[in-house]
Amino acid sequence: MVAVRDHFENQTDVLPVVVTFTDDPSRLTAYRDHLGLDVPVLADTERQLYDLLGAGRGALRQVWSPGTMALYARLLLRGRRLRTPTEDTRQLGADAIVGHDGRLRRVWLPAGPDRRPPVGELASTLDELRR
Amino acid sequence: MIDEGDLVPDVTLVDHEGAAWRFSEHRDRFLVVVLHRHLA
Repeated sequence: MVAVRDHFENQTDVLPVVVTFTDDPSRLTAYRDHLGLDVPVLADTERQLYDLLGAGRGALRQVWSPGTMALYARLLLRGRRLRTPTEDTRQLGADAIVGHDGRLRRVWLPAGPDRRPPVGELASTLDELRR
Repeated sequence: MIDEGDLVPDVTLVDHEGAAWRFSEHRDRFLVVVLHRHLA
């Protein structure tokens, strides 16, 4: 998310928005502070947006794939402490671009939690949409 | 489920201050929406 914020922070026609499904919105402030985010961080406690965009819950083999394990290994090597999850680890994420007109312009539904579109792909899609 | 080209409805979203956040109130810019998986 920090990469997305950094990439788009000087583009005045783009607003990055982070959506979580936490059922405790009071955690949002801590999350913003932890990552130093100054963009909207929102709670979708009923997962309505997740459902609308098709971001479902992954099978165990998707969520705990070799790619996911490698991702956690890299985080540990960087000194990150992993905590016992308190929320649904099987909920998959998504990335989307919504146009000025409020219409869904593009959605990415990664097959696993370790797979997200690179920021460059989001940026090139935005460039196409601006034309 | 909606498809590309469909209007994104105003689902119930709440920001870090507890205020309602609506897609319909943010139509002046492109929105890059990142739906998180587990909030670690």
